[in-house]
Amino acid sequence: MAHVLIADDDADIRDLVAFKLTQSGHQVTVVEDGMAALRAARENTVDLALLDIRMPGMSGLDVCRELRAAAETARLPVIMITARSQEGDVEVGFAAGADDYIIKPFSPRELSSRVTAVLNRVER
Amino acid sequence: MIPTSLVSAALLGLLAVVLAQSLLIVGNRFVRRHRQRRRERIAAPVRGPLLQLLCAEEDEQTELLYRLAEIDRRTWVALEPTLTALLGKVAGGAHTALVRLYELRGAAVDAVADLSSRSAARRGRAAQVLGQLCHRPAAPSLCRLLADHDPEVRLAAARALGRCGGPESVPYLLESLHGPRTVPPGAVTMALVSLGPEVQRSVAAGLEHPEPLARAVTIEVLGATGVVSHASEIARALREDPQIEVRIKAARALGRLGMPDGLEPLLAAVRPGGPVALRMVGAGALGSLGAVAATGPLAKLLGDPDPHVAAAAARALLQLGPEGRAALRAAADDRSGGPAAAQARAALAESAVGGARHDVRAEVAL
Amino acid sequence: MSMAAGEPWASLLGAAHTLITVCDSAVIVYFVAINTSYLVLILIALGEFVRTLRRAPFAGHDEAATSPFTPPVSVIMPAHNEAAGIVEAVRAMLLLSYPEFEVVVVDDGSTDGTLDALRDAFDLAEVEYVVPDDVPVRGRVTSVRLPRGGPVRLVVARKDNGGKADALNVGINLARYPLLCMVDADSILDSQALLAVVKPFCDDPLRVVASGGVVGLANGCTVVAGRVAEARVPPDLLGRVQVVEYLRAFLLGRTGWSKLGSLLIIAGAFGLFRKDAVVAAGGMDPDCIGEDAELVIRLHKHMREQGRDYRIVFVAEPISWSEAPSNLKVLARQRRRWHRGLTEILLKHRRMIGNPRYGRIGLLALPFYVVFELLAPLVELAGLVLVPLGVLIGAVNADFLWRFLFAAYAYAIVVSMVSVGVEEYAFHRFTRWRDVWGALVGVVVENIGYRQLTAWWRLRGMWDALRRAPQVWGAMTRAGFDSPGQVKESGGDRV
Repeated sequence: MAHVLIADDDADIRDLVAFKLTQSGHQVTVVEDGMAALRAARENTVDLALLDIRMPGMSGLDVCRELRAAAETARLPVIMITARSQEGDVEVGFAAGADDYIIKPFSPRELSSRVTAVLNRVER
Repeated sequence: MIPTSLVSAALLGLLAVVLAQSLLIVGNRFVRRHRQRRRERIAAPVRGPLLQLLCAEEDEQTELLYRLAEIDRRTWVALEPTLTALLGKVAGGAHTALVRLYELRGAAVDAVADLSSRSAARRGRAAQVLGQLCHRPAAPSLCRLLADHDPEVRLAAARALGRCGGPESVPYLLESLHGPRTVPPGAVTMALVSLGPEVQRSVAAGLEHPEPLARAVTIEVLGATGVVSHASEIARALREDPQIEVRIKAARALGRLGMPDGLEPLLAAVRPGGPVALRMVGAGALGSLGAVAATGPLAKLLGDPDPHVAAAAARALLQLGPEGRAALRAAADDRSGGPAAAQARAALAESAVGGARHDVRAEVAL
Repeated sequence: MSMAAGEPWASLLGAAHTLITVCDSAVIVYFVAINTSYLVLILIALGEFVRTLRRAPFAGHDEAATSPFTPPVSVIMPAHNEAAGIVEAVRAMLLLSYPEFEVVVVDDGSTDGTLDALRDAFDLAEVEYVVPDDVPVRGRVTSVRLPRGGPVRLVVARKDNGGKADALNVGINLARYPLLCMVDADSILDSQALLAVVKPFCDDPLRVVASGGVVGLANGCTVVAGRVAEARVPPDLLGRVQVVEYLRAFLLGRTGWSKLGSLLIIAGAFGLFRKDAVVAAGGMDPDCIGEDAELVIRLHKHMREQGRDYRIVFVAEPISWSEAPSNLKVLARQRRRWHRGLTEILLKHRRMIGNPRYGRIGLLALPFYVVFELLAPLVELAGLVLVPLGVLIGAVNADFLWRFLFAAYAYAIVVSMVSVGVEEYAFHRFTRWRDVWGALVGVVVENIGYRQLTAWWRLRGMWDALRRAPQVWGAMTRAGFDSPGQVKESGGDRV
């Protein structure tokens, strides 16, 4: 259905999310850090980016800000993955331009639904 | 003097040690890499089914569960780090699936048995896993583990109880705050808060505890969980408790609870002459409380000789709506105001910029 | 007749003979003692690492990262002419994994636009602010700025130039949380660094007043957006030697001291302190070059004089990094400054040395530092002179000597090897085989050549302190982290 970019330094989360989204019918590109995420977002036709807010190297916030700053990726939907109860994360995420967020620990099914919802919102 | 032959022997011996060390360093690396690759290789075939399990619907899980539950011991051991990592990272249906997998495997029961292991590392790991599994039957054993002689194990037990304990765990947690083997108060507070609103009646029993630390923790928990039914007792603690840290915690809790019977004790606590730390926290709590009646006393505090109290009062006024702002503006415009005017102006400037520095913390110990 | 005339010369020569023999024996004993004590410290540290590693699977960092009861921290960053890298550094700090904290940047009268860079990057607005005076400050605070809108927890203050210690004092006054984390503007912290260094405070809140973190070498590491993405042993000889030195003296040595309850130095590049303890002790001393170590000793003094039960601990995880000098000139300046700082501090607190009122600090740590750290360069260089002299006049058997020299150096190498081995076993942050080779090279060169060089510089530093030379801070130009290939001249603060 859609091409989703996943950026997370945690291998387990990467594999899990990639598996679920592939199962839901999306095409998936998986990267380990922020710089690779930026590169992937610029080179491929990515429809949505799932970014972990905290990665060593460029964080999800930095990536989101960079995406919003460039014209061709400014409208790219972004979902931030944040940690439980770090309220500041949510605010900062939205301030950086994220469209939605999901809190760890998360349910893979819920994640998939959110991805679908954000994609539908964009299409409309 | 030392005979030369001895020195020669020492020299040769040391050179041999150097050589051995180099080999050890290199060898250690080889062994570690090999072990890691071996673990990955063994776990590889089941990783797919595991992910499938986590992403499956409820009815599809059963078949996968049985398949995974039947893997041999070697594969299970290789997979275990991934499993424990995922336990903390997933929620909902995926988490339930993992819990069922552990139960089918009998791993939960094994973990309970491990709680009495002789190795501290095993006890701690078992406690961690049981907490993540939210395995209720383990609670009594975990309560006993709160008195373990290894401090890290005690911590792990407290954390685990926060997730799988019940009202009967509360007295154990409160008792673990003092004695020869203690659990750090932050961990106990977190555990008690995590147990949720059902246990708060048992928690409230700690308000009368002879140990001040237990009283402080109880008050903090009640404030954090928003249990308003005990606000009057917390107010009494603010007025009368002999320990200053307990009173500080009570002040903060009353601010969080937002009940009207917190107003009078807080106003009394900020009066000049009291301990500075209490007055500072009390001023901040009056802001959180949100009672407009506090505007007058707080405005008077703007001129307090202690700058921290004055600053706390100024920022508290910001939280009291239009009356608070009016009081701040009046103080700021006052030509002869001196330090009070400066504090008021500072608070208003921060608010205008969009980020007032609320909540200056006074205490760290309790 | 000629015999009688030669008598006094003979006895003089005989006395010199005996003197030199005694000195040589003293040097030999000293050498063995210093290496053995390091070995003891390292083995203590090893025990501590093994213990911590075994408990790592259930350390609960994830829970602490999201618990609202983890104590909040104010990170204080003094900055002077750091325009090139300050924005990156502050951004990296703001992204630390921690539930509640703020960053307080104090611009110490920079002339290169440091403040402008920050203002543009974070949309800062000046606010009128009443700066408390918990600790005395000499320079005037000229402005305080906060970011507009948004939930960014940042405060930027500007003050008249007055040195790092004074800037830290302003930061202490501005900080609003009860724990202070003092960092350098070029400190690179792992995202878990605050969680790791706050753990002692969480575990023992009534007693712990300060905790320090290990500072590793950032040279040669891949630094991306203010984090060390890959730890590497640098390719140049000086870097390799320093890596080993840091491992032995800082990672392992300080862990050992901490376990003995006698930690004297917490790096200014990364340390966590209780605000009330620092304020009670009087803040940082602007007249001391080694203000970070001086604070720790003063904390010990204050706590013991008050009769309080307290602990100052070292967190032994490689979680913070700093760029070390990459050429000899800068390294010489750095070591000279460090040793000058040490001399000044020991002179300032000389009443504590050997004083049982100060417990282990007075009876164990401080005397050790005087004998084995302060006077080490003196003894090493004296040995370099006296031992050959002894051979010349026949007081020492040349055959014995060269064997002993080799044995002594082999011993020192063994000790350094143990450090490398412990790092490899416990942390294995260096992933490439090239790194292992580099470390082994560093081990050999550190003991044969490097230590002698630093001994000379350290001696000069001690002399500087004794004659009270005017303090020269030295030019510190920074290339910034965006261009890791560029050579940075860094005076470097004490680690």
